[in-house]
Amino acid sequence: MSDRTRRHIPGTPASSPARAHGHQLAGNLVPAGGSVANSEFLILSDGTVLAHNLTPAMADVLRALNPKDPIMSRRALCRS
Amino acid sequence: MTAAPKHPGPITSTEHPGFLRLASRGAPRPALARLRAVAARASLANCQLCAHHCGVNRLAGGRGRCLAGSETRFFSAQVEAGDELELVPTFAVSLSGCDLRCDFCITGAASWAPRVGAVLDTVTLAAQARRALNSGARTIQILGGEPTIHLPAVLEFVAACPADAKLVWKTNAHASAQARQWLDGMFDVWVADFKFGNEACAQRLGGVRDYLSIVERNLIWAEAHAELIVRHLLMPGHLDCCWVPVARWLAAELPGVKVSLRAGFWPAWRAARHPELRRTAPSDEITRAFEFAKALDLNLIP
Repeated sequence: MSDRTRRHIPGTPASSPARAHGHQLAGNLVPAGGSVANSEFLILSDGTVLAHNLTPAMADVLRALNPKDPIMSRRALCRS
Repeated sequence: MTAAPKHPGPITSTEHPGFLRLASRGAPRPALARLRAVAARASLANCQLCAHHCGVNRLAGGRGRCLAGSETRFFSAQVEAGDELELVPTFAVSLSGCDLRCDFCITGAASWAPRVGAVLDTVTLAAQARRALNSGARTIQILGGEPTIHLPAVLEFVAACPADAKLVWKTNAHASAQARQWLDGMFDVWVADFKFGNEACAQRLGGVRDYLSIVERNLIWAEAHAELIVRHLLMPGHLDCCWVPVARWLAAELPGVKVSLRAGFWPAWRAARHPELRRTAPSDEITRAFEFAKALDLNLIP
C-alpha cells in the first residue's frame, strides 16, 4: 500500500463529513511499466481532496488549487 | 512447558557467515545484493520470507498465504511526490502481492493478487530508475503490496541499481528474521507500517495473528540497521484502539524515531465490510491523533 495524502481546497469547509460522498476518479490499476503516470484522488463534498500515488505534476495542480498549502508547495517544487 | 515461538529469534552472527564476511570487507551493495539474490531465490523452495513461515516450495508451484510463486510482477513504477517530504520525489515501484489481507488496502486488487501487472525485468526497471535519478528523483522506493515476498527479485533489482542511490524499503514490517538478514545493508531508509494497536484489530482487519510482537521486533531491528520512518494510517474509529497504543509504544521503545501519521484514509477495497471504515477519518479524530502525538513528544515528520 502506498501513501495517502490529505489536502484541503480553500474556500470550502475544513471538516470532514461523517461519511465520504466523494468519487474515486481512477480506481483501476496503473498500466504497469507504461509511460503514463497515474494518480488517484478522492474529492469529498466539503472540498477535501485525498490523494494516492501523487505525482509531481499532480502536486503542482493541487498547489495551484491551494497556493497557501505549504506542504503541497514543497511537494510540487520537488518535480523531477 | 514453554511454547515454541511462532517467529524466529534475533539474527545471530552464525547465520550466512559468507554474507557477513563480505559485508565486513566493505563490498559494494550491488555485489552483496547479487550474492544474496541467489540464496534468496533458492530459499523459495521452502519459503520463510515473511512471518507466516508457510514453508511452501514456490519454485515448484506451491503457494502460501501471499499466493506468490517464483515470478515477480509490478503494477506501478513512476515518480511520486506524496510520500514523506524527505524522500520525494521518489521513483516508486509497486510489486504485486502481499502477505497481509487488509480489507482497507487502497491497492487491494493488486496487493492481493501477485499475478497482476507486468513481469518485473530488473535490468530494464533499474535503467528506468537511473533515468529518474538523473532527472531529479532523490530516492528509489520499493513497495507493494508487500515487497518482502519478492525478496529475490528485489535483491536482483538492488544489484542493478547505482551503488550510491538512496534506496527506500516500504514495508508492512511483517518480515521474517531470514528476510531481515538479506535486507541488512540493502536499503538506506525503511518506511515501515505500524497499522494496528492490538491483536483483535490486526486479525479482523488484516487477517494476521501475532501482529504486535512481529512488527515490534522488526521495527526495533530496522531502527538499529537503517534510517527508520514508522508510518501509521489513521483509520476512522481506531484512534483509541490502534493509534494510541502504537503511539505509546513508539514513545517508549523507539523514542525520537521519525513518525509519519497519515490522515488520508479513504474507504477502498473491502473496507465497507467494516462499518467504521465506510468513511474517511473524521476531523476531530485527526486533531486528537496529532495532539496525542505531540503530547508524547513523537517526532512527527510531514
